[in-house]
Amino acid sequence: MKLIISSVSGEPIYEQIKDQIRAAVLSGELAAGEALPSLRKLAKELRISVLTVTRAYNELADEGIVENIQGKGTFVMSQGTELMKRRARTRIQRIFDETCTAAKAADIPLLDLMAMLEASYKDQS
Amino acid sequence: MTTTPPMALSVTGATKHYDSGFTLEDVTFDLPAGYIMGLIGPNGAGKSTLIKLILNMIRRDAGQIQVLGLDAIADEEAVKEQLGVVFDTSYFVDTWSVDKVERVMRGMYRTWRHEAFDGHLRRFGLDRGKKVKELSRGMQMKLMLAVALSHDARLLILDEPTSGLDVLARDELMDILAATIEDGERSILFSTHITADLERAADFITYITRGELYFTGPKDEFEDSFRIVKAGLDLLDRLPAKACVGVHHYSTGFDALVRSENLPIFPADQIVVEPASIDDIIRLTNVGQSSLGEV
Amino acid sequence: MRAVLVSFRLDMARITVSSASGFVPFLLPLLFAVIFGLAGRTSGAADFATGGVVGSVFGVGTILPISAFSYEWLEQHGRMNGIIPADRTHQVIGRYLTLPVFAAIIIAETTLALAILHLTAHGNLNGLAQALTTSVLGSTWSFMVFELVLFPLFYRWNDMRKALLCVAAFFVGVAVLVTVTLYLVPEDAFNAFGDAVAQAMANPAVGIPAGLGVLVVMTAVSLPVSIVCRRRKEF
Repeated sequence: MKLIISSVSGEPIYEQIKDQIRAAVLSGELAAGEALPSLRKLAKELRISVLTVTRAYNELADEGIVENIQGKGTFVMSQGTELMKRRARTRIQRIFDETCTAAKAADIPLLDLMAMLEASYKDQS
Repeated sequence: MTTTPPMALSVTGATKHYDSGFTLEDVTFDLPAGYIMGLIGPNGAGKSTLIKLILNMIRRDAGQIQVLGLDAIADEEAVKEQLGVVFDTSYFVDTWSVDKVERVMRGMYRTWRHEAFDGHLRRFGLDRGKKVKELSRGMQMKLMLAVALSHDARLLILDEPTSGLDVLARDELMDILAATIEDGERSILFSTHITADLERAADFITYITRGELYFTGPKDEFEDSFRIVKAGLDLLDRLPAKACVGVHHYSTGFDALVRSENLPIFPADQIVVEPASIDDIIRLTNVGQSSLGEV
Repeated sequence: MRAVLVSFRLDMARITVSSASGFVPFLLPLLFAVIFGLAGRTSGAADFATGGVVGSVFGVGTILPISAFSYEWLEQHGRMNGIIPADRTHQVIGRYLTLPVFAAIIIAETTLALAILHLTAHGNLNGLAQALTTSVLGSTWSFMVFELVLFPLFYRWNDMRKALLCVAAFFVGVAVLVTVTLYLVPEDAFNAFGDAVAQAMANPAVGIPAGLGVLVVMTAVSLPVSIVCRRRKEF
């Protein structure tokens, strides 16, 4: 698993870790049931504090994406991917709601909107 | 396997009055087992006093100190069996060879791990035949560390171990410390005024200034609870009195240390906000308190 | 107790020097023995020579306990003493335990030096036995008395200069005591008393218990005082 932390990006380190682990789970790079690197080992390798990694892992566990098993480690939950797909859907739905409101206010017809969506989707390879 | 007590170090209300007038007043903090705590503060703030209190080298006027669940005074000997200490300068007789240091130290402790000590010597590049006085400052520090890591010590106390060392040596030490707590069995209290070392590996910070406890808790929380606000001098006059914790004026503007929750006081379009580093926080909570005297 | 042994071992490690130069002072009495012996061949001043040799061993011997203290003083306020798993009381007791070891060293070196003296002076060991019982026991006993007085002073004032002042003060004090006694007591009585004590001490059945008794009493005072001084110290 690839984890790259930037100390100057302005985003808290634990958030960066969370983002990158979520992305790895979503892309399948981290499979269900797979173990995340041990807390302390990761802290040592990334040269950051143990508490920072602990916070990232705990918050991911609260989100249901991973599970902390006492004495064994932290594992990707089998429904981790599912959960995140559902989250993504919810987020997208919200964005669509906002988009539609904005489109109606600007008098943009549905067909034009769908064309814009298609162009956007195909654009991002 | 022995059970690790939840707190490696527990200091409650520690107080020490010196005749000179300096007082360490009512310091309270805990170091949970398995973590690294940075003890920071300007020179003369009371860090060494605190460490001497833990080691029972000076008398406590008030308070309690518990190390690994044991009382620092009543169970002094049991405590010191499990305590590894590293100072800024060597505490060995300087005509001793490294080999003699082992022979002496193994007689001090109930448990002595010869293979572990040997391993540390090799890793640190320490030659058994060399006398302590022939070792560089950094090597002397590593020797103390090798000893500290070879008798099953569960708490390591390092008092300014990196003063006088260059960046590479300090970096190397932080790597060693991170590796030391990797199994979660050992804890480290690290007193330093070189805060750059702590930005990396410290889990907790205890910040002491002018004999008082200013903050104790997770390092991320410490840094997160402050911001640096930069703006023009005209803004300064319009701010309420306690808006800033500390201000550094210069001719074209000012830098101020501000508590995160107070940020809304400032007009967002007139300021630049940056994260506060540990150095910034120490610097701006001690404005005008330089050890060089008033500037 | 383990902690006492830990302290004892630390002090012994501090004193036993690894470099050759550390042994040189201990060769000096042997050298004096040779010199005095050679001188004694001609002038026959064996008694003076014995005193000189015994005195030189005594003098060199005092380096030993001072070393235990001075390493502690020099090395930044005795931080090693703050680290080892032995509390202050045990550390003091451990240091007192070095005294019998030093006494043994003094006995051994005095014996050796006197043997060298006799061999150099007249080629054989006649008269050595007698010299031993009087001089060796006497000087060792004096050494113990000396240290039992000095230790509390060293524990009270943790400083090399002050320590040496204490040593000087001890000798001055003894000299003053003798002078005052001589002033108050008529010389004849003093000499008679001295002879009587010397004769009594020469009898092992009296001398040894009496000598030990004095040391025990002195230790019973010296040790607690040292402990109190050490426990009060702020490092």
